[in-house]
Amino acid sequence: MTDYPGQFNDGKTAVSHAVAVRPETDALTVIDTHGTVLARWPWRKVRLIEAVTSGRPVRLSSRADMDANLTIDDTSIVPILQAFAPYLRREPFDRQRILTAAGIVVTLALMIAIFAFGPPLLARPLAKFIPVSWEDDIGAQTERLVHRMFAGGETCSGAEGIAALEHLVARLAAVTRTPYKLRLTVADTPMVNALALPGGRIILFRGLIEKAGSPNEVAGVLAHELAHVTLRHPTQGLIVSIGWSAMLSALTGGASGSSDAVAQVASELATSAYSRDVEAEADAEGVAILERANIDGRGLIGFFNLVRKLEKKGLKIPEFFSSHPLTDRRIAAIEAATSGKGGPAMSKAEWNAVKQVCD
Amino acid sequence: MSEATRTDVPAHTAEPERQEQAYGERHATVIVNQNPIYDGRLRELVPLVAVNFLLNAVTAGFYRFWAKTRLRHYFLSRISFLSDRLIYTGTGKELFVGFLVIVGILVPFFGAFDWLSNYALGQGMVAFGAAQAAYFASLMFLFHAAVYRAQRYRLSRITWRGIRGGQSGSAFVYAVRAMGWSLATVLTAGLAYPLMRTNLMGYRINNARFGQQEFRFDGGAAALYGYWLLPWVSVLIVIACVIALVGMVGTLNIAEGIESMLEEDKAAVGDVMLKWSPVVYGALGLFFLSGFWYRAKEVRHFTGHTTFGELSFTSRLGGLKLFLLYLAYGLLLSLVIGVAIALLAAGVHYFDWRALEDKDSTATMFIGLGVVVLLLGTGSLLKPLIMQNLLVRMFCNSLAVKGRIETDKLLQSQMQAPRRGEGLADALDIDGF
Repeated sequence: MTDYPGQFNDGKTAVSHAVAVRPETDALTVIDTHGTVLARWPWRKVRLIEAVTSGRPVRLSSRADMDANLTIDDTSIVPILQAFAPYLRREPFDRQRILTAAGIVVTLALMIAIFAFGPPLLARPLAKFIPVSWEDDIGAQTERLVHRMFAGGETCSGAEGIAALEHLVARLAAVTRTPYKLRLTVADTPMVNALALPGGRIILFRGLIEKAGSPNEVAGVLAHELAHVTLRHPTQGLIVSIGWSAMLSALTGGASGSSDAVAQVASELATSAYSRDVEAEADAEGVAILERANIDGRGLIGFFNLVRKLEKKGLKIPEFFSSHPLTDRRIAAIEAATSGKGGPAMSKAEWNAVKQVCD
Repeated sequence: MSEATRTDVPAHTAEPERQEQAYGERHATVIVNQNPIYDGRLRELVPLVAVNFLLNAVTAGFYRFWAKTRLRHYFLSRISFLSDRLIYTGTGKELFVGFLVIVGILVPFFGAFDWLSNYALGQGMVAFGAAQAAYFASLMFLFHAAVYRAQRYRLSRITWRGIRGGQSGSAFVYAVRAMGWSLATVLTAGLAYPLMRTNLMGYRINNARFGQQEFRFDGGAAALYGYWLLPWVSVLIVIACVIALVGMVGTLNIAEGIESMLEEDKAAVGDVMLKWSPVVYGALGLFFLSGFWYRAKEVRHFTGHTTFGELSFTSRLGGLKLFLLYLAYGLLLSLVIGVAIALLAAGVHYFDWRALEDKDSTATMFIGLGVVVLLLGTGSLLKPLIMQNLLVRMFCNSLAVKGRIETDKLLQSQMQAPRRGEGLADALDIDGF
């Protein structure tokens, strides 16, 4: 058995000992130039500090003496080491490592589950704890923001039209249970959209009123928005987006150095996925509200079809689609839910007044 | 190597060679006059970085703890001092556990602050401003604490000749100091910055140790001011322009918001902005450029005033080299990201997104996330290969170590090393190695 020259650090001082490394039957022995045995490492404890690379020295340590290390320039010792210590390259699978690996897999799975399903599941119960006054404050602020952003602050204020709309809203609200004071405003902008904000505020956009063919269509949209409010979707949505962005910031950390951008995009994608479920819920509840208020539920379908027709004609209404994605599945679900019973949402006179609310 | 291949060891052999003959060692004392040597090679680094990138992409960044560990292990193992290579003893598991612990604390923290901000928004601008300020202040505090803790973890995981590094001191004290000095810097429009850096670096260096021997820093900030003049003047110019603009806008009548401004007023403000924007951009550019020379001076200054026992350090790091390195890296990065964005745009243009709409929304979300991570991660390939690799090489080549070291008196550290690492630094996206 030949000895190999090496450098040894005993982990107690910074002295570098020139040593002879002797592989023996049961251990790797390190002997200094005076013949003193500096270390005897049982083979099953010997480990490689780093993978063996050509042109680089071999560096070893012992699991029983983690601070000490041994450097051997002559790589021809490697086959001998492998013969004596077959687990040298591959760390043995002891119980601790298996547990660690299992723990990591479980954590990863848990995190994915929490990330995908957590915020939506938590949002519903959490929303109940938010005081109505908080929602009202946030809603008021958002309402001002929306009006300023989309209509430069201009609202439609035709007295009779507003009265007719509020009458309709009251009729719908009478058959629902909500702790909020419902407030309706009409934003003076050609955009076709309607929004429900936390705290019971509903915003109709002038474009929607202009394009609607019958009062039942407007009633359908209002019932849908009212459903959002009753089911506390706006507040839940806020909790969900906060939860997701907080989680994503923590999760991705500095992964690609652009964690903010990733978090933003992922947030958007995740939120839109969640929105689709929420929209379906509001559809069903909206139809139920219409039925209870004795208004023909097919008005909502009529409105969706109208919007789709406009879109096919080339009239793009992106803002509506982004917050109310229309799919065949959704329309079919609404059609299945309506019974066709019920009457008009308002009188002809009221409808004329509504059509002129922005004049 | 001479008579090493024999089966018996005579009682007295020729003096152990290598160390003594190369460095004039008597007993265990070594006379030192060299620089650390970095011999990393691209052909070793490329497969390492490629595997890291793939696994990071597949796990959406989750693999980063092990990736970082592998990189650090590689870089440190390629640095040798006095013929002995450094060893990095950290593990990915330690970083991972640190991350878990911090996430459990930070997610509620971020969430609570987010909600608080939303609520304060409804209470008026003052409340909102206060909420934002509190948020920023806590974030800054956490940032500095994280920097200190990260240094402690890393030092404790670096070994030379079996001796561990370590760090005393308190992250809390450091963060408080850092906040105080930051305030001073802001109040003096940046004039106090070199003082702040000297003070904070001093705290970090004086608390750093290797084995049972401490590092000592004894520099003042005066030498830095020569190089800080230019950056500071640029900052002043930018501040002056901003103040002038704000003052001008303030004298106009803006009751209802930007839309209600008179057309001629808008034109006047636009004119002024146009005329003075080259000055502002010029000043910003000057700040950016002169920053490289200042940063190099900092390295030379801090290194030159640091001692370790009887060892002294000198750095010859130059601003020009530093600038050229960052320039090359920036250009390469822009090229890669540009190509990635072009590909993404082409994909968006040609791919029929409507077809996905009806399918399972969760799947869409994951696909989208995966694509984004993959594209953005392309840039991260270049950082270790170019930036970190060359930085380490530059730093080692420019560092000269002189003096004596009594290796038998340099004893193993008895300090308690942190058991897990860097969760805070990871969550707050603090870089470095």
